[in-house]
Amino acid sequence: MRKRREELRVKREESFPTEVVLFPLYSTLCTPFLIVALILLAAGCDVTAPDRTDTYGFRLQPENVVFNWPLERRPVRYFAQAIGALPEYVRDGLTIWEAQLLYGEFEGVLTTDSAGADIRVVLEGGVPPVSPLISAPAVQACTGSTSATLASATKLAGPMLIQVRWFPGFTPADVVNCISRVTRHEIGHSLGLFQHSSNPADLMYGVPSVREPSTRDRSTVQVLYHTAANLTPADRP
Amino acid sequence: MIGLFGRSNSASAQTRIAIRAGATGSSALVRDSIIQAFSVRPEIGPSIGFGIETGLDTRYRVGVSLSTTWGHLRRYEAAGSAEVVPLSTWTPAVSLYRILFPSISAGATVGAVIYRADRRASNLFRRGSSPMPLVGLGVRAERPMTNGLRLSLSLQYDVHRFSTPALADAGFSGERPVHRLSASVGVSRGL
Ligand SMILES: [Zn+2]
Repeated sequence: MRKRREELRVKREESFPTEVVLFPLYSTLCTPFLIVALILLAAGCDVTAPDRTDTYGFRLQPENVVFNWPLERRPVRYFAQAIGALPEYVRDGLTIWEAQLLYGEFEGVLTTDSAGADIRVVLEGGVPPVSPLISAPAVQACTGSTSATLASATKLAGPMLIQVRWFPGFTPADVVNCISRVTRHEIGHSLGLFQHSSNPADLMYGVPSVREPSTRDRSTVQVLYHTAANLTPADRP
Repeated sequence: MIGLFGRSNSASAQTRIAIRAGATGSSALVRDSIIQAFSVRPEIGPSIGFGIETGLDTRYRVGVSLSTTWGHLRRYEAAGSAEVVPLSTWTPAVSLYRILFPSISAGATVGAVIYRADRRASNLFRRGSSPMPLVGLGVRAERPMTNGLRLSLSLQYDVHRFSTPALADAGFSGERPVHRLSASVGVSRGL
């Protein structure tokens, strides 16, 4: 028994030599380095969240109710009439509004099934001229509206309807720029931004002249999607 | 169990490949307040990893590994939680382990975390994210099995700083330290 213990001890000593040449190198370089790295990574990180106090109203008036798309309705289905580049403008509008939200609050998709859509987008005035979108001062070559019918004080009766109408007598570039810009604005309404901003720098200004949501637009839609809604969408067919 | 890689001078005898499976939890990636406070963090998800390591001497071994974990990023607030987006992470790393006791080793890791998420919907990874450097510490217990295999039980902690271009666009400044803890069971064999 004693001999067996001796053998074990010898074996242990062989496996753990008392002198390991590389050990001082590791201990002096690696361990302090990693401790310092851990401290640097874990500490001194000061995260500042954005200020969202600069917003405008979004409640439906005069009912004073809040609407936003509930999570279980994601993705919200948009049907765009296949005329001109309207589907492209709708997809583009969904993309820019989705980009204003950080936490999965909203997702919209284009659908070709108009009967199953949550929002229908139509273009009036005929087939628009063809032109690429350009960065030019806004010309009011079109108008738009978003409408929905209330089934009750707390529920919509059916899908929302976005109507964009373009006018003749403007250059093709002004027309397509206006359709794209106004479609983005109306999609903002369809998200639940039921009021206009009083600031011309915002996409949700009554007569939009910018193409991108501003910081105020972003803050407002973020606050909207974290506010409890008391108006719900119509059931899907 | 003494000397994971044996006492042979042959490099091939000292080199082992390993596969591990377990679970990983993470602290919040974002804390925010819009009307009410909430946090956003990955739910505890399954993870798998592959690695290759070799002995430097009788006490130390160095290895490279690649592990991945997946699940959903969720938003947690007082009223409950909601899914934000499916999320996976990939972690390539280099580790240095020291054998403390015959079956226990502990070590340190440097590497990177790569987050992968759907960019289509509204989420903080919408504009992607860069690999984020990490450092970590780990402890591992091992025991031999048949046919030269070894069974291991690992506990790994790591920390990295987190931000994304979408968060910066939205007005966030700075980076949040994110702490992760993973537990795994693995099997290794010599090459
Ligand atoms: Zn309007």
